[in-house]
Amino acid sequence: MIRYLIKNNFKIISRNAINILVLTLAPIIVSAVLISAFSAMMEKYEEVGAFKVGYSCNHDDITDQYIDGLKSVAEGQGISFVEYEGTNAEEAVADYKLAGFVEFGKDSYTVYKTDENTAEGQILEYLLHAYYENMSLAISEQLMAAGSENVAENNAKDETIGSKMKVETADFIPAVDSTDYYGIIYMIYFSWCCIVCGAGLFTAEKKYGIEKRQMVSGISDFKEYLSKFIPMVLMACGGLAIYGVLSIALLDVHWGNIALSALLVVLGIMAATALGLMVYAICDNMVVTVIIVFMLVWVWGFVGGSFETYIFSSTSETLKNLSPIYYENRALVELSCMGESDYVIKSIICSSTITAVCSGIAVLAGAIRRKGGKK
Amino acid sequence: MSTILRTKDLTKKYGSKVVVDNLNIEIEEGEVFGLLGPNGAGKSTTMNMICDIVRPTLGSVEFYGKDFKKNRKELLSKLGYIPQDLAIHGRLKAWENVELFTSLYGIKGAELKKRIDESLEYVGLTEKKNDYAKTFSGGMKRRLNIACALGHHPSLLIFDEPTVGIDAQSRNFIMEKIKESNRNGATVIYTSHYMEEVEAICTRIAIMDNGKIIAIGTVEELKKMVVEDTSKITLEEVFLTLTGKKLRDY
Repeated sequence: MIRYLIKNNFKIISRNAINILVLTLAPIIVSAVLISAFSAMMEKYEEVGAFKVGYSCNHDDITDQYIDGLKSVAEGQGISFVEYEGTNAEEAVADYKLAGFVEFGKDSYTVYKTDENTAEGQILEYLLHAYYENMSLAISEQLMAAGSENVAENNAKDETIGSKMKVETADFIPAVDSTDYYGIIYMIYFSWCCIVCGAGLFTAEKKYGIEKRQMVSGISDFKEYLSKFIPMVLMACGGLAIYGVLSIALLDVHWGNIALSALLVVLGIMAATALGLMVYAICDNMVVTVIIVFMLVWVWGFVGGSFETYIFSSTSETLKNLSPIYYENRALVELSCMGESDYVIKSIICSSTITAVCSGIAVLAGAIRRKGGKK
Repeated sequence: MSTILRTKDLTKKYGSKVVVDNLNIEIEEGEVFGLLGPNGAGKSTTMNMICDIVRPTLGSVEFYGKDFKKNRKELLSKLGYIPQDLAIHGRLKAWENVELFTSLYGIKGAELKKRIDESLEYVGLTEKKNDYAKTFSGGMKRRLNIACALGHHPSLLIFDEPTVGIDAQSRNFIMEKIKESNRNGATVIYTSHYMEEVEAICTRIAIMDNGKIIAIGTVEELKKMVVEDTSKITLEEVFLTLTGKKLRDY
């Protein structure tokens, strides 16, 4: 009966004090330190009022259309776009006391920022990036919908794209403070380190030959996998739930939609556990597993906003999109400060895919390793 | 008596190294079969192949006349494996350890509770059932290790050096329990480096060296292979005569 195995494996894991340290105390301490350290930077971002930006462009139908859309979105965020035709960007910034300047090319743009207006420059960059990202998405959708329709029809549809942008990107700049950002981000980061939950169990099983004894019972590879996966997920969820409560009570973190946020964290924990179990099934060594998983999580966290906020990060969007942590971070941060996020679905798909793929590989690798008679 | 376990040309190779070489043994129901050999002789690998922990390179194992590979689940439920390692969880209480390993055989509910109590009583740990295994002495851990393999009432018990590193009292207790299990109908395969233990409980003994059986028979038969007057020689002397005195640095 697998439930007794799950129950007792959970007891073994939960009786290890290190798990509470990693899943509850460490995120509290790290996020408290980072909240304090970065509060000034994030406040500066929050305190930025309305500002003026100059731009120049080659006028044609499409450019005029998307600049009109952009100006409308920017207006909603307190950013005024003023055209300075034929002017040098640097001179315009100095002469007209602008917070920044944008040169729109046919299929690119260049942003000029000043040292005095760093926060404004980053907001401007973020706005442009978000606007273009959504515009590309909308154009792709339009083209896909158009299917085999003729070019004339597509051109007619382009006119609707600009007006659609105004609605979709209007709320796109999250005004998040360091408390919410780091309070949320470090729950995610530590949830991806939850392989350490099972370290004591795996080490004991290997050291004392317990896995041999389980093999003699004829337990299937899938049940064996579940007997580790479920207790580890439960333990990580429990530990991070305590952190979640403490983050509200002690750090005053706002989670926005708590139910949806909890779902995303649980799915993330399942993905992280499956990933850890897969690496362990392949390399059969807990120390190596922890090193590989921690390195992977560090890289994903680095590009996904765990250390440098993804809002201000200069990391390319392509790299960010390679990090499962990024989807989770962005979905949770936007849920916190906006109450909704386009990244919720992306995060759910990403976590579910990792869980399914890694679980399959872990069961397969475990079966091969056992049947190979290496032990 | 019927044959309970038979190995046919059982062979295990790791790369070019042959660890077990064409092993053919038959174990009769109700006997206590001793498997002796110096370090690296292939005893543990043989045990592991019998228990389906290690896949043989060649050959097969038959249990109750059935091929192990084809009837794996059914046959494994009749087998109790007591490993040389203390295969118990220190962070679990004694009863929880027995519950964990007994439940793997599909036993649940009230029956599981009954089996846990039975197993702990059998090894004299009833009073310590609520204590964590990590607080136990070496002897108590060895007894708990045995209890964990008894809950599903196996008909073949495999003891891999069950008395390593424990005091005389605990060792005596374990030996008595092995004899009792055998009297109650269990067939036993036993390995140990303590010759006097093997001599005291085994009905038949096989001596392995370099992956092969070099001698097999009762204690008397083994002694007669070396000298005519068996009263003048111990099993240890027979063992050393057959396997040599050279150190085995594996």
